[in-house]
Amino acid sequence: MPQEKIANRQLFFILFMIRCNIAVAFLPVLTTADAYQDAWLSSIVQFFPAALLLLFFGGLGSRFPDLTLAQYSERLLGRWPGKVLTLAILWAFLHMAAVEVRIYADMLVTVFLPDTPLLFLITAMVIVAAAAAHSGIEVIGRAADLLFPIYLLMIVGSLLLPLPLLKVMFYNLEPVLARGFGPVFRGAVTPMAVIVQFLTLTMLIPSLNQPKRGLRTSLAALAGASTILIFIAVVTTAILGPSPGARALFPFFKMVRVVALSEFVERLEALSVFAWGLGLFIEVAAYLFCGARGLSQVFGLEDYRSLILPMAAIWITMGVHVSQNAFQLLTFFKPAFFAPYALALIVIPFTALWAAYLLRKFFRRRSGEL
Amino acid sequence: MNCKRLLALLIIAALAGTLSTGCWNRREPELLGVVLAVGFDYDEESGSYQIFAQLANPVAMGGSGGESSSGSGGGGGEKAFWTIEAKGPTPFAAVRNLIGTSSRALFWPHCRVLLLSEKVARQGVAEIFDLFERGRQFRLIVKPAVVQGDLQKIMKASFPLEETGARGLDRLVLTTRFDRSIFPEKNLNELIATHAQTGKEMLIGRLEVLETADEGAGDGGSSPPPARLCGSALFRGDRMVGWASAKQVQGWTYGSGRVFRSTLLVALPAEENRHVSIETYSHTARMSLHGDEENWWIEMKVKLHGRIQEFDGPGKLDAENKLTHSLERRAAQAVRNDIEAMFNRSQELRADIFGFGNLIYRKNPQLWQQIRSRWDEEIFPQLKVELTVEFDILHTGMVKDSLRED
Repeated sequence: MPQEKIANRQLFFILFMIRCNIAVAFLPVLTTADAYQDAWLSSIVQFFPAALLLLFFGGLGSRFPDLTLAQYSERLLGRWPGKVLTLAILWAFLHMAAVEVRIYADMLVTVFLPDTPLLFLITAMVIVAAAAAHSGIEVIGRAADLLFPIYLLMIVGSLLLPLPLLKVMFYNLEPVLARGFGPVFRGAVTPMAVIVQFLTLTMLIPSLNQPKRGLRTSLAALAGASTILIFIAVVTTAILGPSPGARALFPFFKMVRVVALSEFVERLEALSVFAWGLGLFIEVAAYLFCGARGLSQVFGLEDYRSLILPMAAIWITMGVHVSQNAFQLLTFFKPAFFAPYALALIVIPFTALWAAYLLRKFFRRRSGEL
Repeated sequence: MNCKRLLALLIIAALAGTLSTGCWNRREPELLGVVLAVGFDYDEESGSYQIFAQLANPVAMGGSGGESSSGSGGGGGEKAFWTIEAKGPTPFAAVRNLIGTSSRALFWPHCRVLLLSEKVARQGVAEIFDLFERGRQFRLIVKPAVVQGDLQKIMKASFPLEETGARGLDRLVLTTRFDRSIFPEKNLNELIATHAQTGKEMLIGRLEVLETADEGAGDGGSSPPPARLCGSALFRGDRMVGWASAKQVQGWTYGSGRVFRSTLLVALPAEENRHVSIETYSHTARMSLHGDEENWWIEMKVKLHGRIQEFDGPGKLDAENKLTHSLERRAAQAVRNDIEAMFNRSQELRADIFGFGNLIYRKNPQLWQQIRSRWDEEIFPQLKVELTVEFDILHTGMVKDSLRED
């Protein structure tokens, strides 16, 4: 069976939307800590540790351009430890996807569809994503090609529309750094840890046209999404005010909702909800694809497709049960909880892999010298 | 193969569901009572909120029945809107208690006007703001105003040129804002942002209910206007502390850079009983903090551009001359008087609506930490602001000199 390939451009789109969607959803720089008017600085700061982490776990992929994480971890660590480690990473996909679908469904229930069961909303999103994942990574890539311009246009549009109001509201961004760098760093913790989403890269690298450049592409996606994040943070904080913004559950959405330029240009929140949904579709499809692919490789199945439906069912259940209520979701993304969790998922497995890789290299060289 | 077929079936089943969405929890427009304006009052004796909601009445709307919407409305049933009221210990409880009086489910997203009675404003508006911020159906783009006079009367009043009273109020804000700067136009989001800032107090415009004869008395073209927008209410925290006049609000708009258009009446230098009207149409206002933590002062610089709107001689307006310079100086002085009027009023009420405290907080947070506890009671009431006003007259209208012969 010929391997399906996507262009690096498509990977860029997928990762960009994955990353940007978190900001559209709940703007962690503003809502998870006490950065307030310095949230935009947090958006700059978070890029650097996030990029380092990305280099850390993406770096191995460039050394095994033809292998997914599931494959090279078995090669490096041996069969069983490799499988266990892969399962841990696959858990991250499952969990993040479930959480993100859940936030979206929660938003719809909170704002638009108060009586609709969560199950229905989550099922709708996961089934569509499952159909895409079943069609393969090429289809997801093409969908990303199609949706990315619309996505970006909607987000940039929602950021440009409130511009006339910005002049009057700009004082909301001052004072800058009044409380030192502490709040800025605290605001950057959760967005930095959200880089755990980019673990999908480790499963997608062999599907790339130019796998060697995969890491560079994903860095570009991270940089691009972080730039958008800065603008979202600036506009949202300015329009809503630092503390009303931080109090909001969905700040970006709230910001778009309060924009009323004239009697006709108002109630534009559909833009942000649409963008969010489109991004989420690509996101969940990518997660589902990576999860199913990884699982099929762990268990030595020929094709991942047979796993999609059962996995989608698990995904749906997980989405419904990942949190009992809104409070648990909020607690989950608190820096003190989310950062250790995400970092553990990244640092422990990949330290083991790097150690194994470097040791192997070291011993090979020595044996070569002998 | 089998799997594919199964998937296809599943998708078809899911899609089939979408065909029937119209029937599940449907909310047909004809079953909704669209709320156009809402008003809150507070009853101190029972400690309860009273809510008035003005609903669109589609039965009377649209139909061109001559007398129905033109203000004559004798019987309530003919008007294009319907006002209902309820009471409750909290704003939301009051909203809930409306249910039971309306035959249609209340629908809030189209509510554009939020009226607060003086009582409720003096009692505190935080609860009402919370309702609008938290509630799914409420929008923060609603325009608030504090009502001086009978809230119930204005909630039931109709505006001769508009189909519904709410539409009338909404248009009133826009129209006033474009021509005169006597009403601070702020939507609820901006007010909430102001309320959340340190060292800055809210200013909500005033809606004055006019003493008109009983409704229905005036017929056809002679019905008097039910209300006037003019002036504003000053707040400290979420409680109203006093009124400001139209002149004072103009001062606020000059000082805070919010003038859209505003007219000044300036006495002529030669003959003090004759006046020139000058309309300002663009301006900048800047506040700045100078000095260090020991010795600081605040400067406010206002630059305005204007054109002559009414000129009754004597004097030449064909070149920059003594007269134009003098008019500019006088206009600047008039602006300065307005700003000072508002400034004095705000000091009197200890309501820092210009946000001088906020300016200090923004520009020098350390200084603000030191003085914030003393700000409201000691520092702000004694505050001196260095105010400079520059006025440039850029146009004279379509003619130069006056008709009057010198």
